[in-house]
Amino acid sequence: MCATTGILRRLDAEELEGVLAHEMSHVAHHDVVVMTIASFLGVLAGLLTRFAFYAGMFGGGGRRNDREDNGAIMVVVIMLVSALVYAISFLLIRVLSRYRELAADRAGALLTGRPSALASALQKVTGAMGQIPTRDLRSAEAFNAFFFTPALANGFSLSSLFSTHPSLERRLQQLAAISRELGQGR
Amino acid sequence: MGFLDTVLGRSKPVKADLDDLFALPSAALTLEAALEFKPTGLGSVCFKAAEGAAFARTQADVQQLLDAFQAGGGPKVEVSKDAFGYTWLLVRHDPADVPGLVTDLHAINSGLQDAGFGPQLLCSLISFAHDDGRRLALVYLYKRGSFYPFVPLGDAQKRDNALEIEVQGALANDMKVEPDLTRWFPVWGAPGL
Repeated sequence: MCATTGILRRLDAEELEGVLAHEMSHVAHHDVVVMTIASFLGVLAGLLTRFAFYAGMFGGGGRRNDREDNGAIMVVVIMLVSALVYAISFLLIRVLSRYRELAADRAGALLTGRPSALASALQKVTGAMGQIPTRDLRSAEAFNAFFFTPALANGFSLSSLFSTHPSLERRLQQLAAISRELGQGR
Repeated sequence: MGFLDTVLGRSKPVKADLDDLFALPSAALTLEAALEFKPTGLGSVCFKAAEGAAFARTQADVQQLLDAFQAGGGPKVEVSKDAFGYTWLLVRHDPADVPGLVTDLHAINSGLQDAGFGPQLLCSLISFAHDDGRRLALVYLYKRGSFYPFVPLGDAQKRDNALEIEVQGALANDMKVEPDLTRWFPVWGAPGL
């Protein structure tokens, strides 16, 4: 586990504690082992796809004119099935990774007892907190008068299917829920 | 807002629903329980007085409105103007009586709206204070129809962003908090803070 000088500069002590607790939770949950084992079959399927592809391209040269082409069809079928397995396992592994990240967030928050410190660290690191303006409302009133509509509906994006970490919003939502739980003394 | 609306440029601006203000009493309870910020009993309404020839008439109209309020048993209101040219109406109440303060703010806002100052209303805010002296304001923006927290730090025009995010998390269930962080404009030096 390493901390860059950049993060040491940006975050204050509590936030840094939250981030380190999150990372230590990954270690405690043996996440590296879990992800390796989980992706094992997927990687195997991916390799099979590749080998089948190359075998089909380069290996069948001599035999093609002599016998039935059952061999070639089999190779294509193997390739397609392996590709499908690889694609599905890729998406499922991403889902697993996002779940483990949320679990590490939760464990880290409960370990330090300060979920909002982790929340503000996340926002500092992603630059989201920099969005909160310092310009006075009264000088920005003309801006408020316009109603800007986002081009796409909020929330869905293709990259969210493929990402290893859940979206910042989702993580903050969970941390806020933990904060509320702690506030209610449960 | 549908796809067609986005493409063709139609938009439905949010109609400010003054009844949103009535989420404040439960929010005040949550704030006190979760973050130990107690209400100060101060609330204020901000609107932009019209410019030019209508300026003096608007001021007189507002004053008449408020005198009518007070005569009818309404709240005591202090009028002030700030450096940006906006007019602030400050209401004082007993700190323990948040519902009363909210009712008064609602009455003032409705009165201003009915008198035709609706589009000129900017925001309403009520303030809270921590025992260690920190102040927090919950600002309601009419044009967005949502609340956001504002925690000024000292005199240097700095805000405590981390605490504001925390307040957002705490109040997410009680009221409509503005989800877009770029809309959390500060109100430096607002009366009532």
